[in-house]
Amino acid sequence: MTQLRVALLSSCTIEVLERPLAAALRERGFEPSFWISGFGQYRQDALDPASGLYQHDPNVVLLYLDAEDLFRQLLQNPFANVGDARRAEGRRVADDIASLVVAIRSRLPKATVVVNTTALPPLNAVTGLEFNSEFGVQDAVAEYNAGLVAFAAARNDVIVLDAAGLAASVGFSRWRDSRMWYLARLRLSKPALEALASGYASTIAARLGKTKKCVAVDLDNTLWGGIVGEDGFDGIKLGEDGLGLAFAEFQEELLNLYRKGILLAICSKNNPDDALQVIRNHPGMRLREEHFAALRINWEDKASNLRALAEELNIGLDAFVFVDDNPVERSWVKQSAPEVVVPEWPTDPVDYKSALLQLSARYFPKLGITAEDRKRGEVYQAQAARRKLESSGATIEEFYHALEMRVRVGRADSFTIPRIAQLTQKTNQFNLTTRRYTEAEIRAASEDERTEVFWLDLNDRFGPSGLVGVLILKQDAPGEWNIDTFLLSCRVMGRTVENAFLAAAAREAGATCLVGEYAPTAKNSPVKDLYARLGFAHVRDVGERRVWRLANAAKLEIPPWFQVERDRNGATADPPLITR
Amino acid sequence: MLDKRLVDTLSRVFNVDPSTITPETSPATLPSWDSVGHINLVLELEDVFGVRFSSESIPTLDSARTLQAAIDALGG
Repeated sequence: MTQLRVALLSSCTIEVLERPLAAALRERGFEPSFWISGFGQYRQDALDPASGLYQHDPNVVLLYLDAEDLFRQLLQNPFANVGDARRAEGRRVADDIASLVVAIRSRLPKATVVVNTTALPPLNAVTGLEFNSEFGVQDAVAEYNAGLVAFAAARNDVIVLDAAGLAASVGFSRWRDSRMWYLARLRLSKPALEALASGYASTIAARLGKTKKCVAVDLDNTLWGGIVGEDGFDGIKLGEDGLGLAFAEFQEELLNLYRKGILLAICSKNNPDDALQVIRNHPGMRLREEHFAALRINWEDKASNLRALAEELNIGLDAFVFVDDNPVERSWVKQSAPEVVVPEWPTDPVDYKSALLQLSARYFPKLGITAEDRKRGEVYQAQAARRKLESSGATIEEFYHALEMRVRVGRADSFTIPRIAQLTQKTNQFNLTTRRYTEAEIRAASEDERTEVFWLDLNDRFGPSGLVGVLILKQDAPGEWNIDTFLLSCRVMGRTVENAFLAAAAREAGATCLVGEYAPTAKNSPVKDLYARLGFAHVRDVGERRVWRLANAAKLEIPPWFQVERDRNGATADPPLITR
Repeated sequence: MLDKRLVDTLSRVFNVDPSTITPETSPATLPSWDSVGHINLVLELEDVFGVRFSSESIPTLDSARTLQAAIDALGG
């Protein structure tokens, strides 16, 4: 559980959101503590340096502002404002809220602020006149939303939650509960509170990297209708005809997850030849073999197959969501692999696509797509080819040489900062200190004179792995550097990349002496002895943390199987494989 | 006699042991039954029993006994 301090400010009563929001955050692995602004106090609390908001020192500030509060006068008499004056009002309110967010951020430099789009009731006094006359209200809110979105887009510390979209999805008449407004000055119904809580929790999970990585899907009656072993290649339902389209469109949404950087895997009890024939040749298939990072098509039990998939992909079982139409299989996996998320699944295939979109919003939220995300599927395919080479019987050194690895080490810059922050958020296994950083924190560190933020980019004969390593060094004294963060993406572990990385970075920083520590977590035992392996001496323990020191950093060697290209400030003709 | 679902909901919303809940349980006996707690409780009970309390009745539902009577009257 990750401790999370949340501040909640709103234009209406919002205390009732705490309960569903706390539940939604706990489900996503957070232990929240709340500070909630009083009714109608959001402005004062944001502007008063002594307010409870700043004493709480939140990691996340949720500022829920409702259009009916922001544009109350406009709604009371929509005939008082025409055309441009109304749109100007929308822009003015957006600017006003933007300056409030700037004030909050200036006092909470590490916090993330979540603002929201908002919607007015579609049924109001100018219904019918709207868009047909000079009278209306919606364009004021449209200007407001656009202004707020543009403001947030220019800053990486402000995130937009699309509450207007949530309201449309719930249905505006269900989004409101008039009793709650008149009795408690609450603008939200129970379904609205739940949708908002889930939206906020997913946004926070995306920001802090607490999301799942892989969807494992069944085949018969999940990817296509019917059972290929019984109904045959020509007998399954898949394609443009009838219900076949429900399966084809479900596959299209899986393909969109792949494009977002989510791994797809198959976990099916089937005859592999029958199944592969469909996957490779069926004209209705939207997904092909190349979209799957790994496949388990056999008669083993599915919990064991999921474990095998986890091992092959080098991710935790807790990074999986398992989709299967069969309730018996679901219940078996729930019982025997409880780390895996096993959502209930609709019995009718027409509901598959919307069920998947809900899973996507719930377990795979993203706030940006890196080039890494877009290439992830291919990268895992190359990984499978590497594994084949490894098992081909040569010595380990021969294997390293045969990989033809080329590394580049550079300093963090605006291109690499998003990916560096993402890696600090997501990397669990090869991570010595597991310090999580936001983009703003990485940027600040890279601008600090006594701190070096290095990245590592890896290529080999099977293709690029991209930016897969981060080293943050802090200078203690001239020549003496403390290793604040040392991490590698799990998919390049076991290839001595760490030796090359630390040696190259130490040279670049001009380090003569290095101090590193190992802070144990539930997942990083693979690097427990890393510093010993690199020639460091154990000097002391601080609580659970082991501190190691290397007096002569020049001893660090780049293994002979690496070709190293140095990259000052990342400003070469060949940028690393990451942009936003 | 209190419906078990009412007892369970009170216990869940206010985070107290079900055995402590009696018909006399009220904001006076449960400190967490404040105005926010009351809204949480009402919204939960509406889901559990599939009923809808009127705006006039909501502020008067100030004990387990009156809640049970209101739920019974609505056929929940």
